[in-house]
Amino acid sequence: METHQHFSCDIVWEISTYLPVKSLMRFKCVSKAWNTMMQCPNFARSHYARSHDRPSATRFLFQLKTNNKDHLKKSSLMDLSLQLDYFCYDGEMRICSNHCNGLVCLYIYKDTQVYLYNVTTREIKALPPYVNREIKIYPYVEHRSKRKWLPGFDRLFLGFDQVTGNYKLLLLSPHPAETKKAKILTLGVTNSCWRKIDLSNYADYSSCLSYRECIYLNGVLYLIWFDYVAYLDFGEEKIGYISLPPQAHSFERSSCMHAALWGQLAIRCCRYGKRGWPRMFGYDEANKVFIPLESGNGFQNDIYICLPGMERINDKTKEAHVLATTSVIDVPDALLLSSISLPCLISFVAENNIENRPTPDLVFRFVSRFVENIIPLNSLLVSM
Amino acid sequence: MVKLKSNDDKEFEVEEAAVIQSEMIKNMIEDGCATSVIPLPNIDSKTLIKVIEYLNKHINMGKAAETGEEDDLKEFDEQFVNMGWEELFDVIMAANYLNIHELMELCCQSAADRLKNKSVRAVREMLKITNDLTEEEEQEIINDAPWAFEGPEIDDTVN
Repeated sequence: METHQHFSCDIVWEISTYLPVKSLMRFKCVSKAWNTMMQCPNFARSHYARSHDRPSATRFLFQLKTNNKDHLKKSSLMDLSLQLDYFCYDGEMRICSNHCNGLVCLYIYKDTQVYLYNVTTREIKALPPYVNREIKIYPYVEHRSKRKWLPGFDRLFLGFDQVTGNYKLLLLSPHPAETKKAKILTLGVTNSCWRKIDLSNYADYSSCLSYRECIYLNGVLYLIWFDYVAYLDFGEEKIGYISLPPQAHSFERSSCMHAALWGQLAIRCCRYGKRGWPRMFGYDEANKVFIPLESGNGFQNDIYICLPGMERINDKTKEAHVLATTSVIDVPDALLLSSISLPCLISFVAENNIENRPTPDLVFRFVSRFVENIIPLNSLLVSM
Repeated sequence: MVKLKSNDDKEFEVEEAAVIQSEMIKNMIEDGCATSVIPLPNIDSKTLIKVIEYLNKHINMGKAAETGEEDDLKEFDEQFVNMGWEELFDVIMAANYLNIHELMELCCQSAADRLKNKSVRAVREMLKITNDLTEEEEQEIINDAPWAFEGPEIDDTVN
């Protein structure tokens, strides 16, 4: 029998675009050619495009925080298996941006440096100095009671321009003199620099300290305020506004997390109509308005999702920020899009199935949906 | 009818509607280059029989959706890729050469499914790749992502 010829490079390339990321990371060891291919930005793009069709490649990214004081009552638990990816502790590091396609920015206090972190490959890389020096992150305050809003610190956002395929950083800088300006920078291109964009009549963001009030979906960042939503399209680099539906009073800002979970903008309104009942609103993108969604049996049914394996974070003396992921194929149906008409509140609790073992309770900070993305960070963070 | 000739000199007659799923042959027919027998010097008869079986089954892809035969087609695809690794390897090469998009997708997916849980050693053997990385380079890759090398699913067998 004749010996087989080798697969040509383009066939290996083609087959590899169907592989899960864990396999790709392992197969870098196959040979020099494979190692080079896996680090090629074009391969990363082909793989990313293909991964949209692979159900297990769509994942949820949970941003959680341990909380030693609050104790949630545990009822109607659902099991959700999470792969814990990263821990960082207060005082050392914080997550300092929104989630964008499985990328987040991390800030390390001691070297005042912002890093880009790819949740899929767990690669971390410092922003180049010319980018980093413009970003002023809120300092670490040990006692929670002393944490309050201070002027002069930036909010950093990460976005993807769906037209050009470039990632961008957006900086809202509530410096007194620059309240109505924002800066934007394109990543992955040489000679990139911060460009100023006008925010015109939008100025209230300085009060939005936490990322719970923003949501990033499909190239657009939505900043949720009490009576309107401001949005920025990372392609057009222009800010726009969506007003609250009539008769709706005060959005519940934490509900934007659920929208991120479902991959579709939806907002919970605390009081709606004459009776002042809560109601869920979905966003009609074509007409740029919020429309009421079927609200089922109200909001009584809280769902507690339990997270096995959380006992691994057993340092009870420190608060830990946690990034954890799970594939959508492993999550209960209640978390998926179909439940958008069932506007229950979702809470997360750590599983404590081992008696007498310390397990931290968790505060659910944010969740997003992303597709496995092996984009090499050196292709995004090019020096000047 | 279009005549195809494998590299071991066997001729096969295929309906034009089936064979034009190959972009390469479709172009040849459109350019008027397919008047007699089309020689396929890269494909042996065993592989060509498999490819023709696929083309004939998928001839009425559009119709299948209307008549609810999609499940039937799905079952056929599942059975179709249930072949040996070497055989699958040959069909991928043929699908790539003939430029049959759907067949390429089906077989690459199947190849990826067979490779995804394999150990590095098993992949090298299955794809006949010689390792040209030094021990240090290899260790560096492992140190960068140790999690990718751990797990109960990793399979060192070659099959």
